[in-house]
Amino acid sequence: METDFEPKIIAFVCNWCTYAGADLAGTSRLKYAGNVRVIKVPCTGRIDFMFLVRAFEQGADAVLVSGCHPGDCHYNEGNYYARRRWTIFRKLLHFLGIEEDRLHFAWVSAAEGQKWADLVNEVTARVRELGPFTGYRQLMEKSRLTQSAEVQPLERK
Amino acid sequence: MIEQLRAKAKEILEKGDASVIIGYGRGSREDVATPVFITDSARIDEMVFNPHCYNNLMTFVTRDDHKRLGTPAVVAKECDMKAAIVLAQEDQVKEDGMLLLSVSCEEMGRADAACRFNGVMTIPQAEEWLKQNYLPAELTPEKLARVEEIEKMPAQERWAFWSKEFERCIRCYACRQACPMCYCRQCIVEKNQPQWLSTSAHPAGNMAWNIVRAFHLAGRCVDCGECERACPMDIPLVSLNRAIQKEVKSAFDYVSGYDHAGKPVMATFRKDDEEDFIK
Ligand code: SF4
Ligand code: SF4
Ligand code: FES
Repeated sequence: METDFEPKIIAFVCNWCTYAGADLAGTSRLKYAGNVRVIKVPCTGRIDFMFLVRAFEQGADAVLVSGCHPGDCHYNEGNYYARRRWTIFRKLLHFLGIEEDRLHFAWVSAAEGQKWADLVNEVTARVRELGPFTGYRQLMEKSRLTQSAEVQPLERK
Repeated sequence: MIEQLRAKAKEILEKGDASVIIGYGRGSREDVATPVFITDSARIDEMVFNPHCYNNLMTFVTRDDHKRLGTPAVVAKECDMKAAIVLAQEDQVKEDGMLLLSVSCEEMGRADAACRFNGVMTIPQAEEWLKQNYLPAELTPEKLARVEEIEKMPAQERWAFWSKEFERCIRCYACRQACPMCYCRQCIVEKNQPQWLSTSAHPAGNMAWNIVRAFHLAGRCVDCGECERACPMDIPLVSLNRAIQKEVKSAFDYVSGYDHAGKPVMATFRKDDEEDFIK
């Protein structure tokens, strides 16, 4: 495995809990892995699964989704709907052959700066072990090929 | 049985219980049937039913051009009845907005298979009938055999398998057109403000499309298999659908097509839903 591999992890976090938690980690000057790019959304209920697909298309090695603990959602129920969605969506990706460690879910409250820092460290370590997401990258590279002048004939089984 | 079916259909039209019969008619060959829309009872003899009547006719009841024909009575096999139930559940038809001419076929595709007419049913009646007669046939080990085979592959092999399958996709969207549950007037794949997925038939666009198609049917697919049958590239879409059905069943103890009055499983929640995957 390449030793200088730095995982690129995209985190979709809700505005009210996890973003504030991550902010707290920052203001508390906690040191943690710098591999996560945070994208703030209003609520975990707002995270369409297409966000995750797009993250992988854009070269993410893993995706992290985090929001308020059950019962704490700013919109009361968003995270309950989200939880149902992820329960099935992660299984679909698993069935398609995406390793489970490329998808992480967590509840991090505004007070849990330390949990956020530990979470990012843990996810980064796991993805580092897994290596880059070459599967999706190959898909993208191949697509550029077919998009170029040399269109590859598709063979029927 | 065809005589019984025609007689009932005729009676329904003449009594005015429905204004159009959506059924099957003779196709261009022996082994195909084609949908027919009959508003005049004099044409009732155009109706046929045989082991080649594959189409899920529920695809028509949500389309505007057919809605204009008024209340339909639809010839429906078990999966088609389930589709009607999901349509009612999702408020696409009213509970009393259609009649079902329930039919069964011993084995679709086998020319000499026996066919049966089960009677005229409303959507709630169809639900009761299915619970009695069809629920045990859902997600049987035979139906899940292929899913389990794929699950046994190591992750990378699975990825290679599906990438290769999806690579053949030509983005004809026949899978979507054939699906009774794909009734959106504008599909996400045709939206370009913003454009969520590439419409080009390249490997990345095809992966995204097939993820979208499969997941938008999570907890809704009635396992009629029409998507796969329509696919000109023989992509094993049913395995993908069934993998999701299996997870929905194990996580939420839910099989779609048996609860016209309840909430769609992915549009609701329980506070104590399992969450062992969440840190
Ligand atoms: S996804 Fe396929 S099997 Fe499921 S309801 Fe639609 S056409 Fe039928
Ligand atoms: S029917 Fe088959 S080839 Fe056509 S869009 Fe669907 S999966 Fe692709
Ligand atoms: S606002 Fe944080 S999960 Fe809904």
